[in-house]
Amino acid sequence: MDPIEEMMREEIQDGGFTLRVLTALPPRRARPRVRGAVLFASAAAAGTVAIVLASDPLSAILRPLVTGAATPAALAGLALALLATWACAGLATSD
Amino acid sequence: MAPTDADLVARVLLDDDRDAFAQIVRRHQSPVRSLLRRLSCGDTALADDLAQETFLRAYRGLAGFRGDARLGTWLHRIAYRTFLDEAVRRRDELGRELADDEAPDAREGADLRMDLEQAMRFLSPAERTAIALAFGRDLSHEEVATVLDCPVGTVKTHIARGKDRLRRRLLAWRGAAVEG
Repeated sequence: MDPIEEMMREEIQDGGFTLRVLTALPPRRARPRVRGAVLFASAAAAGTVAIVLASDPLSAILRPLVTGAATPAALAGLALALLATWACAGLATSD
Repeated sequence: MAPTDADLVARVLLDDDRDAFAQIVRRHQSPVRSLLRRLSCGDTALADDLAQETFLRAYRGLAGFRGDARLGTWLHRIAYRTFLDEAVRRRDELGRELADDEAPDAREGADLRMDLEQAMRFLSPAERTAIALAFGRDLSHEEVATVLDCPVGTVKTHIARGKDRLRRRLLAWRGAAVEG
């Protein structure tokens, strides 16, 4: 059968049903590759922070500051990291 | 060359490929809707709602499709279960067969096709499905058994009993029409 004719026949039989099913599907899930990249970036960031906090000389320098300006700065950094992760996840699911 | 069902399933599972799923729906919607129309005794709107639910269930459960049956058979099986669930939800209003004393009047002048459509309402859902798939879609008894989730022997019984009931019903109507 002529492919165009076959396509027309399929379309007429379908009558918009396929579109109806597609619009009822749940939102697309994030691609595993992008999800992996977000997880890796988060883990790397957490690891870096842990190393910095665990190293003695730096801790010694930072210790006096922890009760002062460092705490709000760390909280702001954490909020920024969370925001970036959320934005990455949003981009991954949006296509 | 058109991709096989297995290729399309793999694309949906690997990458949530909506174009591939659309091809699956487009390819199989006609037989699935036709079976559900048969089961719903011609209620097209209900049949299409159930067909939509069938494909949504198929999408959610695609990882469970092992490929030991044809994709079409697997979809028919989901459609049949979706219909039975709806029949239970509606307290069997859909799933029950008509009793003999609920027979409509003899249908003088109606053609055999319309009579057959009416006579199908006297069959149980399993009989209706077995006959619709075996005669309408040329499915083997083994495939019908997969759809109904019962032994092949039971399928043969459903078909034989269904055919017998259809024949008796049609003959009764024909006789009444001739007498009238």
